[in-house]
Amino acid sequence: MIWLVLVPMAALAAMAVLLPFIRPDRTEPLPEPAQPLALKDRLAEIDRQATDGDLSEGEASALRLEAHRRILAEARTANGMARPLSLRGRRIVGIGAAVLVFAGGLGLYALLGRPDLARPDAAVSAPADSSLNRMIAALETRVQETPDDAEMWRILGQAYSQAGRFEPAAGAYARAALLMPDDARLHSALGEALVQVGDGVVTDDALVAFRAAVARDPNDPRARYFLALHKDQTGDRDGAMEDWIALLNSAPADAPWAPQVRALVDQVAAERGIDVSGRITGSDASGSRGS
Amino acid sequence: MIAEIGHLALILAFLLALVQAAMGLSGGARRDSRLMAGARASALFQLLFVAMAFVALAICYLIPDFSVALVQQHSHSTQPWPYRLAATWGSHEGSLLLWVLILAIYGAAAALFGRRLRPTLVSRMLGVQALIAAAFLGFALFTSNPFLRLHPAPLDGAELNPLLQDPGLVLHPPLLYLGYVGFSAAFSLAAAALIEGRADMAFARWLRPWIIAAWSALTLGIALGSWWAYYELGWGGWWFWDPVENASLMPWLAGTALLHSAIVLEKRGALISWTLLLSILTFSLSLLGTFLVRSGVLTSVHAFAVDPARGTAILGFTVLATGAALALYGWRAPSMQTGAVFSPVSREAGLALNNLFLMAATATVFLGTFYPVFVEVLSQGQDRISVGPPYYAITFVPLVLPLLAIVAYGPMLNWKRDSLKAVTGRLKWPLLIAALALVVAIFTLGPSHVLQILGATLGVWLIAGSAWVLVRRWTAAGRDEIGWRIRKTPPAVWALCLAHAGLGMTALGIASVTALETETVATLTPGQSVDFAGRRMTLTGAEIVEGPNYRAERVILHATGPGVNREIISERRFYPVTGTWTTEAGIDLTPLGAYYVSVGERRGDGVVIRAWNHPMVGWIWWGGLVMAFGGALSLADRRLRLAAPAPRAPAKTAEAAP
Repeated sequence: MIWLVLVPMAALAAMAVLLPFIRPDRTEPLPEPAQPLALKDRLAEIDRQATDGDLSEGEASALRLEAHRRILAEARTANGMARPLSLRGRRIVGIGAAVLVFAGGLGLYALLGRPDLARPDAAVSAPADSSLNRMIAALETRVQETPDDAEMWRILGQAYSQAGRFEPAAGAYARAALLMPDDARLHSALGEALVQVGDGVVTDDALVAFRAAVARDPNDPRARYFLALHKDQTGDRDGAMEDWIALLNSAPADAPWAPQVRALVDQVAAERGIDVSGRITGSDASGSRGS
Repeated sequence: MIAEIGHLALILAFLLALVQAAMGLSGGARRDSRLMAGARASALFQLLFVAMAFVALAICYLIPDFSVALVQQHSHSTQPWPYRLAATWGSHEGSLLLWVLILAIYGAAAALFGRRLRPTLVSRMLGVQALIAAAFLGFALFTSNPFLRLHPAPLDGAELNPLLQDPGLVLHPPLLYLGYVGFSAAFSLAAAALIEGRADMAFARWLRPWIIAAWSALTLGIALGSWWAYYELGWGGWWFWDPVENASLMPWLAGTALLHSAIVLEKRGALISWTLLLSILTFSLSLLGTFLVRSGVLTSVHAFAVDPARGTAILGFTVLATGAALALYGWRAPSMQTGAVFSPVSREAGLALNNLFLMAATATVFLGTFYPVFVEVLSQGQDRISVGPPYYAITFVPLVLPLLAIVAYGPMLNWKRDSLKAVTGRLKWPLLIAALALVVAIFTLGPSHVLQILGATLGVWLIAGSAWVLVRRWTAAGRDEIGWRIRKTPPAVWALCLAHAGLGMTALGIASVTALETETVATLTPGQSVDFAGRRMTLTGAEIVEGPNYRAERVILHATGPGVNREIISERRFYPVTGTWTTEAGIDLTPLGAYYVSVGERRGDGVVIRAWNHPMVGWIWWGGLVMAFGGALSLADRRLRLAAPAPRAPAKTAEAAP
């Protein structure tokens, strides 16, 4: 039971603040003002410097005089009046603080913490998406055995992407692209993963990857799509629209990505009040909305 | 289980900080011994619970327990365990936990060692310290909680940024934080003195140890960070005027000024109000540095990717803390007693002049760091300007050179009054040595490098001036007493000489390396060699090496030359989990300089090798080391050791009496 540990912890903290207030009363005057101690320290220091020969006797006595003068001047500043707590006030403050720490601590923990995950076996219980994670683990072992297999890195990248882990996905695609630099698809996959890492923004890193992809295959649809998106994000909205429409017009009839791009073009066109129907040569003029 | 214990510990520490703030401030105001004792107890237990939370997080990293979201984000099972452990403070949330841990350490130290101060002053200091702690603990809990859990737990984690997987991560952040956060103690003490409306002799004596502790750690942290950047980033730079480096330099400059004005306050009771103001400003600059790193306004190795909302929270707190402290200062400082008078030529005046230069230098760095941020924010990201080394060369350097020139004068000046002629007479020998250095520098560095010639000369001047302090002291009473006088030299004198000489070493290193640096690029196949900076480098091997979580292209070069015959190994590492490359430079470091080799990409059979020759570059960091050592030595001074066995004897007898 996790509470067997947590409750005593909170109790310890509560005791720490309570104790000073329920200690038996002692006729304790406030500790002596530290001032004379400071003077004593200072005088001892001057004496030491004088015996070490760092100060001449004349200098030393001047410094002693000054230290005394300062202390006297400071003593003239009156201390504020002491207004100690009454016995009742003391109890209220002590118990109040202890309750605040104890109840507040456990209460806040109940709000923020996860006592249900405290059991040691909770962490190893089979996760829901374990098949994907297991596949990733297997692939990670595979790529360590055959680190020069570009295809394996690509599959690993896909698996990471599916699991929503886009940073490692980008890493895996980067590795694949390094091993097979002529494959445009690997570069554009890398770029897409980097866009995901950047929360949908076509970052400079991603831009480099997409440019590398179109340099190898000017028709790589994914790279063309995202390069147009980059134009859109950097303010060249008309240019972006041009490029998307050109991409759609060059799409093969059965391209699986075409409906998505079409939907996007329609949506953007509707938002900005542009008529694009005449500009798209595809058969299905109405397009599919939404998604 | 462990994570949950850590989570509750952090919550309890937060509540204890709130209690401590209330009890400390009200206890000081009412002079109630129980409230003050409650504040002390809260400070000690706050440290206990923050330490518990920190250890819990470290254990989660060690296991590694991927059900903790933070561990999952910054630790991969293949990562070697020391780096998994160091990853505890390699992220925003984890480093914040380190921040509050160090804050709690200083708070507990104040509760334990503050007994030579007026109890009300200590109590208020604890109260102010706890306000800072509560703000940061609350910030950690409610916006950057390190103990958030993932359910179901993932099987493996993402990796820590490979650039950070380095021994440097183990020491650099803790030292820097000891420095940054350490200035919180001076801040709290100054705020407490302002609340009380008096800065007396005890206050003046006990302000400085806190400053020195923070300053020494910060010096070491900055030097280490510079060395780390030098060998890890792969192109031999040791200072970049990167905003985050500036963020550490500003508190260092202000802290150095504070350190010196606190001497005047302690010895002569002068500059009270200025010292209080500096205490506030130094910690404010530390807070600003914390904001810069975490706000997301910067992209750099140092910047944690954090959303602007959290940055705004830190900025808000920085403004609030600084504003409140300055308001307190404006209200209280005019009524505090003014200190002793001194003549324009005196030790006090010298230290005040040093403060003037240091604060002006801080201001130039501040402008250079924040102006680009302001421009970008005001134009909503449309305009970007970049402030680089040329700006600092015409603003910062001209301020620092005269400062270096007067540093050696300081220790030779008498308190109260002196004459320029007399002090110059006392510095006859160092002046001669510096003149000699000037001639040598003109010939070795070349007459066109004016700034470097001045820098090197002043470096030698500082070292000679510092040594001269010792020599004069030892020979003052004739030949017979030298041995006795060497033994009797107090740590404070050693500290002064080492700190100033260390500064000279750094100046000398910077001047040499910026004037004489050379570099070359060559593509070598095995067996081929290149001649560079008086050496012949032969490529003897190129191989692929498997590391625990990376693959490296390792290049082995054999360097031969007059008096040199050694291997230099440089690697280019690929970390598949994050898909990043890092460079491990091969460095042959000697007192005369460093020979720096970094391996680049492959070209056919060949490998691209970049090599730099950095004369005397090591002196930059050794100087920092010597400065920090000087600071540490002055903490060992006898009067501070007096403090440790300060039992509360009166209290004990009182307890036995009734």
